[in-house]
Order: sequence, then structure tokens, then C-alpha cells
Amino acid sequence: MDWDYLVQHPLLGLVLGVCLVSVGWRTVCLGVALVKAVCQRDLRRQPLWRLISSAGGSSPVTVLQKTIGGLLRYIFHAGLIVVPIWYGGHIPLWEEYGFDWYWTALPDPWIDRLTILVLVLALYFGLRRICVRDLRRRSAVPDYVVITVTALPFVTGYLLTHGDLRAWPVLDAQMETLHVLTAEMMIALAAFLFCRIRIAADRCTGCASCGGACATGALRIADEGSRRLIRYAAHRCIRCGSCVRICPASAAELRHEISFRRLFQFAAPQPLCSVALHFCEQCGALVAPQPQVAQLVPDFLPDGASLCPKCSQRSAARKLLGRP
Amino acid sequence: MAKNLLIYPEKCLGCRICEMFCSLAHTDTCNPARSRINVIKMDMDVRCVPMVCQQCTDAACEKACPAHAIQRNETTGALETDPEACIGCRMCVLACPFGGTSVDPREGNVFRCDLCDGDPMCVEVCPYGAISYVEEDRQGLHKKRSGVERFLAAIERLPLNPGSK
Repeated sequence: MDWDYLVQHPLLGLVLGVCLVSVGWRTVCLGVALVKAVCQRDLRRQPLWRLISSAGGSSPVTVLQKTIGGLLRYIFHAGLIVVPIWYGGHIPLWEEYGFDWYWTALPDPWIDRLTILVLVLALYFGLRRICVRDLRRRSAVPDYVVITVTALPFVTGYLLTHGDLRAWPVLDAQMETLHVLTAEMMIALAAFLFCRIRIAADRCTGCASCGGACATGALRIADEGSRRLIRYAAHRCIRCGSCVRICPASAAELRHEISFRRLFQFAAPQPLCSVALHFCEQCGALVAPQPQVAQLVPDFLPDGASLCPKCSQRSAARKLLGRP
Repeated sequence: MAKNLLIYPEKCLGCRICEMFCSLAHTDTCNPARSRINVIKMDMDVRCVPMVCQQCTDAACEKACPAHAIQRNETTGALETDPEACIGCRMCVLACPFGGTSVDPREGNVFRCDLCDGDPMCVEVCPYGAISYVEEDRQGLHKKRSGVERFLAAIERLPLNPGSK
């Protein structure tokens, strides 16, 4: 039993099986969340298609940014699925491994172009993560791992079919095994890769728009003492992205997470982020979260003080009457 | 020229009829907390000032809104929140120095005076004429006219001829 056989037969089967089980289980969980959400009052209030398509009323620049960014991500993820499944060279392998499955392949030039596109996009996503300072600050090692591991089978696959590797005989001989191995890494990653809402604590203004936009009740916002807590129940979330689109501070984001525990996690909502609250300086009533007040300080609240609407009315009335 | 609400605090007796009718006209309930206009009482409830959205030309709420949901109604000149675009962050409530925007305690949406599409209910129902609806460029004249009486009374109290006593 040699290394090539081990990689190309039992390991591939094992990884594919694990991934299929994981994807199936997660599809069931997502379906349950979706059905639950539809049964609840919340989702019926707004049709699902509108939740998904709405731009959330952000500024035109952000809408354009988010729309183009979203489109690129859709193309990238579609490429990740289409290329391995509909590539002409892969389809006969099913028969070789003993499955009686066959479907029409996409023409090779299309697959080549799509492969190039996926690689370019992966490069773009990776470089953007490295170069944009704001994004780099919010990135962690798993983010780079995900991009690299996803791009590798496409690199090896392209080299295998188009590359001229006669100059490196070792690599030339091992290329097929290398391709299968990188593909296994990607499939194994996909089995434990989750999409999860994150809220950047340094950007969040605590305005609670995301809680209002969340159709499934996955995001819950509660004021506890002097802080506003945003809680997230991943098992309720259908990843519609409403919170990401509506967030005026671009603090909410859908992020990858590599985790094994999440497959079986139906725990109570966990706190995502907490924001300090500001109370009225005269009557002590809740006014707004501190970051919102801080945003308004230079232009609208020059003295840095902020009153509740009732006390603002009172202070304006006092000024109108010429009282100090 | 757009018309706006002009308040005469000296005429207001604090009956809060404007609050009741405003709430009734906009929400079908008589709930002062849902009224666009609020009577603020000061000095042991002796001085009363009806406070309402000023429809500022350079409005803080309009500038603070991150969703650009606040726009001016072309016909009435009122600042209006587009409920579709509003994301409910309440920056407008926080930014307004007059407390002109508030949050509906029942629905949770933000609201401010919409000038009742050019026929304000509060002006109609105020028994003392403390609220009037006048062209913006005439507001100064109306204020001057109402100030004349106080001015005359003040002049009479002045010791204009100090030598005679």
C-alpha cells in the first residue's frame, strides 16, 4: 500500500463522507431554523426575498460597495462548487470509484476561465485582507488559512492540466497526488467551516438596528445595567445578511469560523458585543449608547452633554423664555 | 413660501388640548406620549411652552441620519422620515436639540411633527391662539407684533424722566 493509493482512495472517500454528513446535518439545522422563523410572526412581516435583496437604507456608496462585494463573493463561492463538480476530468472518476453516476460536463474552456476567476478572486480577497488596514486588524490566522486552503486545489489542478513541469521532475510526478491532497484539505475544511455573525466592538454604535432587522430572532438586544448587550443564537440564524446590510457603522459582518463544536451547539444566545450606555444628565433616563453620543459630539452636541428628548425640550423652552 | 408653526409661550395656559388632538389625529389614541407637540411647564407650572419640531433649515436630525432617511416634504416643508429607509438607530432623536423627534412608546418608530399636511390640528384646536401657522418669512413680523404690547408695558414702567420721580 503506497502513499499515492492511500491519498487517492481511502482518504478521499473518508473526507468526502465526513463532508457530506456535515453538510447534510447543517442543511437540516438550517431548514429547521428557517421553518421556525417562518412560523414565527417576525418573518411573515417581511417577505424573505425582500430581506435578502434589501440594501437596508445605507448610504449609496456603502450600498454599491456592499452590492459589488456581495456579487464577487457569490461568484467566488459558485466557482468553488461548479468547477470541481462539472469539470470534465472529474466526472469519469465517479465511475472509476464504483459509482454509477454520470452528468454532462461543462466545456473545458469555461472551466479554465472559471478556475482563473476563482484564483484571481482568492488572490484579491487575500491581498485585500492583508492590505486594507481596517480589515487586517479584524482578521485572524483562520481567515488566511481558509483563503489559502481553498485556493490550493485550484492552483494544483490548473498546474496539473496546463502546467509545464518538466523542469521539476519531482513535482511533475507528485502533482496528481498533491492535487488530491489539497482537495481533501479543502473538503475537510468545508466540513467544519461555519458562517457566523461577528460584530466589531470598536465600530458598533449600539444602535440596535441589526436586532430590528433580524427576521429570525437570532440577534437579541437587551440593556443590562449600564451596558447594551447584543446576543447571538447561531442555531436560529439563517445567514440572510440583513444585519450586515442594515448596519450603519459596517460593524456587523458574516465571517468564517473553523469549529467542531458548532455542529452540535444549540445553546442559549451568547453575547457578541456590548456597548456602554449614556444616561440623561438631568433626569437619569436612558438616552442612547455612548458611541452614538460620541459620534455627534463635534457637530451637534458641542458641550458633549446629551439630554433625553424630554429634557432637551425643557432646556430649549427655557432658552425660549430667556431663562439661564 | 413654506409655512411653519409659530409658538406664543405667553398665550399658552398649559391645557394640553393640542397634545390630545395631535395624538388623536396621528395615532387614533389620546396618549400625550405619542403626541408630536408637548407642553413644557416651568416655574411651578406657571410658564408653559408648547414645544414642537422646528423644521430647521439646517436640520441636525437630517445630517445625523446614517441611512439618509430624513427628507423634506416639498409641499409642506416638513422633515419626514421615510419608514422604508429608516433603520431605527435613533440618531435623529439624539441629535435634535429641541427634543422634536421622539420614539413612539407603542410602535417603536421615530416621529416628529408633519404639519398635518398643511392644516395643523394643534393650531385649529388651541383655545388661546398660542400656536399659529404662518409663512416662515412672516414669523419675525408676527413676533414683533405680539411683542409690541409687552414692549409698551415695559416702556411705561421705565423711569423715563428720572428728575421728576
